[in-house]
Amino acid sequence: MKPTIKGLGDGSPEPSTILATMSRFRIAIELGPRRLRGVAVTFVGSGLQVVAAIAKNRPELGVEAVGEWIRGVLDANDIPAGRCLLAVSRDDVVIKRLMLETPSKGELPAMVDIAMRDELHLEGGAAVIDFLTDSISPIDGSTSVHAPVETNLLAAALPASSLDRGRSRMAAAKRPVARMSLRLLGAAHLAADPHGGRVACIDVSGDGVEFTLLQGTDVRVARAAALPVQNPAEVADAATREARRTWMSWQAEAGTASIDRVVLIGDSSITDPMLEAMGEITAAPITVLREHLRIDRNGHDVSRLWALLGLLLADHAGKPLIDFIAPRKPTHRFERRRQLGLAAAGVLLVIFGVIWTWGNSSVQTMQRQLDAINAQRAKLEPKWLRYHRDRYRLANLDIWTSVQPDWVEHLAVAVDRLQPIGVLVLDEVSAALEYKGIDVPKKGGVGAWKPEVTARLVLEAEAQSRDVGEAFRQRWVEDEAWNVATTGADTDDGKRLPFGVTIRLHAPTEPEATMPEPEATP
Amino acid sequence: MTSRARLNLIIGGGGVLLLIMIVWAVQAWVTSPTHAMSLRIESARSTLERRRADLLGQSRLRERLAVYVDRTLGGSQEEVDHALRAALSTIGEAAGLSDVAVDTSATREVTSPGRRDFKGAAGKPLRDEVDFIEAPATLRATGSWPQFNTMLRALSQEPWIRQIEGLRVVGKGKGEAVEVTIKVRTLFMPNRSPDATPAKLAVQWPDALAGASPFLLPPPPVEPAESAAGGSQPAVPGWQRWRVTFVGRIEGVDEVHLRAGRGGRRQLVVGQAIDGCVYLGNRADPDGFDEAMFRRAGQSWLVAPGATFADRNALAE
Repeated sequence: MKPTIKGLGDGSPEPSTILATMSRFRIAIELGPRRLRGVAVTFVGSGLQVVAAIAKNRPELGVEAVGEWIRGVLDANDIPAGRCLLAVSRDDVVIKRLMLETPSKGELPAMVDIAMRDELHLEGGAAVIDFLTDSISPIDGSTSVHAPVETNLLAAALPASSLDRGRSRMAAAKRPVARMSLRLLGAAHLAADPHGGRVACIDVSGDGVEFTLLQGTDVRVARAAALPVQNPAEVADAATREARRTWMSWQAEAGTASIDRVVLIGDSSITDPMLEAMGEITAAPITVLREHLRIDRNGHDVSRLWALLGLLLADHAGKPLIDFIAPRKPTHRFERRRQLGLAAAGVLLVIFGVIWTWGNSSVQTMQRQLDAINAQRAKLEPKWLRYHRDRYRLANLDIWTSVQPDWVEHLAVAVDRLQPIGVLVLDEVSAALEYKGIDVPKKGGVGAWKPEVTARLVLEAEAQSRDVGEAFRQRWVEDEAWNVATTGADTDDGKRLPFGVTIRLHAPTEPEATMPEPEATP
Repeated sequence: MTSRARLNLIIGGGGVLLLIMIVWAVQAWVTSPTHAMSLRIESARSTLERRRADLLGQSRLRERLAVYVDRTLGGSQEEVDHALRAALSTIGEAAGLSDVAVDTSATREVTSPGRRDFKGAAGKPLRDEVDFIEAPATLRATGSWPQFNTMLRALSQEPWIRQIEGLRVVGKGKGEAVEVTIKVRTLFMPNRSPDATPAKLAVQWPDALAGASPFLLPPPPVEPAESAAGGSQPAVPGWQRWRVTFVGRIEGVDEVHLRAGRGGRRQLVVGQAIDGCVYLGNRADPDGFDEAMFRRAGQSWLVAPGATFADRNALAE
């Protein structure tokens, strides 16, 4: 069959999806047993452009010197320093296709881990296991979110020692490993048929040959075989033999009756001699990958680097990859809800934090204002207290001096009421003032202070007749300035005039009961 | 209810709850504290402004207190006691009262009735501060009604602060003399002596007190004696007809004898009146002879023995 040579690109996601993703890695490196391969790219839209490429034979070096050698080679070939995507070959990992029933997607990693360790008899920690989910289908046709599902997946296990070795070497080369994946996934990404066609990908660009059977974009079967180090023709023969063996194996194990296409990846010195034989073996159209729509080679020979470019392109496109650095971990059944809950709690925390900070900041600002006012007030306090105390003293003095009755005027009134001359005569006049102090209500300040004072006036007189005496008393009764007390009796025991009259007066504001008795003897 | 509707209901309810919580949080953490703080600031600012305004009146307050201080008799108990005794004695004796006796009693410290407003340790000195000290005194004396009036008028004219807390006037005998007791209470502020001597107070003395003694009955009318033979002197009408026939002092009491052509004879002691003329006592003329002193309608005048009221000599006030 005449091989068809054309660019492949329809295995990539839609451009809009690609545009929406963020590229993370610009360097991909593979350290094979015979060669060091590396490529640096820049991303242009949904594709990439090769900046630097290297495929260099690996010398025999001690374990310690490998890292330095890699660093020197990468630096010399303008591969920039930084985090890298490290590719591992099929030979280094164990790959299993699994079909698992699980009630929750979150439990899948744990189930895969258990299944792989059971099958491979791995001890805990001896290998790193990650997987790619191909399809999920409900077991009983239920659409419920929590209904059990059957998951078809591709699992891979990498010995922990390989992981550690790759990490340490790349760390020594100043290109720390950020992601570690299978190189066959890169080749598969370039060769896959997004329309679901069955594709056989034969990759001879590495130190060995890797056969990958793809159903659409999913890897169904993958195997690898070592290749001799001789000339390309011998390598092509060896690869063809392995391809024939693999084809027969696929037909027996996977029931692969036919395939839609064969994609050859590798140096043309190897792939070209294989074309005719592969046509006979598979009876399918054969394509040699020489160009890709989303990859700008930029003049570099990338025939041995397609798998690395495929990994970078898949990562740029956001396609899930097996990653031994960050393998998928089991999540709780309600992880999604928990995450949503946590996110909501976080948002609430932020909202309430902002509100609290706002309030607290406002209060703090106002507190500073209050402190400033209080400081001024405290500075003024001694002077004001002195003023306040003097005000109280003045009020006390004002009240003390205000309680004095006008005794002269009262005496004049009393004398005036003795008229006409000769009918009444005074025996004794007694006036008394009792100032008890100031009544201070609990509220109202000095304006509410009231003096507690009593005043009384006692007149003892003699009258010419009882009528005259009563008329004298009547005048006092009519006087609003005084109240006449009812105590005491009118008698006819006058010394100079016949009738004795005693008038006891008290201020109208005080009850009779509180009147102090006049002193008997001053 | 479909799961979608239930989900919408839950989301809606949660949104409402969230809104309520946000409103509550804003109210509890922002609105209420800031409102409370605003009130505190407003109150503090208002208090500060009030105190500043108060202090604007501080100098006027001190002036008013100084006026009170100037009206005290001194700044210490000893000083005030002496001044009070001297003032009362002088007033009594200057009025012509006899047996003048002045007693002073124990002083009393008066604290502020509003002292409880000065709280805490900072307010203790102000709380315990004495506003002023009261100093009581008693004046006892004996004399005629006009002498009592003179004494009372002089006391009323005194500028120093006082309360007359007791006044007792008792007529003695037939009322020709009165026994007077006056209890006075003055005050002073410790350690604050007066800087000035205020003038005596102007007093409007009531006419009623200037008249005859209310403790004394007017003398009974005396039948007119036969007029002197030939009665060559023409009779003077009204109150001016009275002629002074004797001016002297009998048993320590001033006395005047009067005679009128048709009104008869009268003997007056100090404080007694005749036809509205109050006998105030005797006074020696430049030659050493006694003249009788009378007061009528606010006017005081002297009449020499042998002269009638029409011949009176007015006294300068």
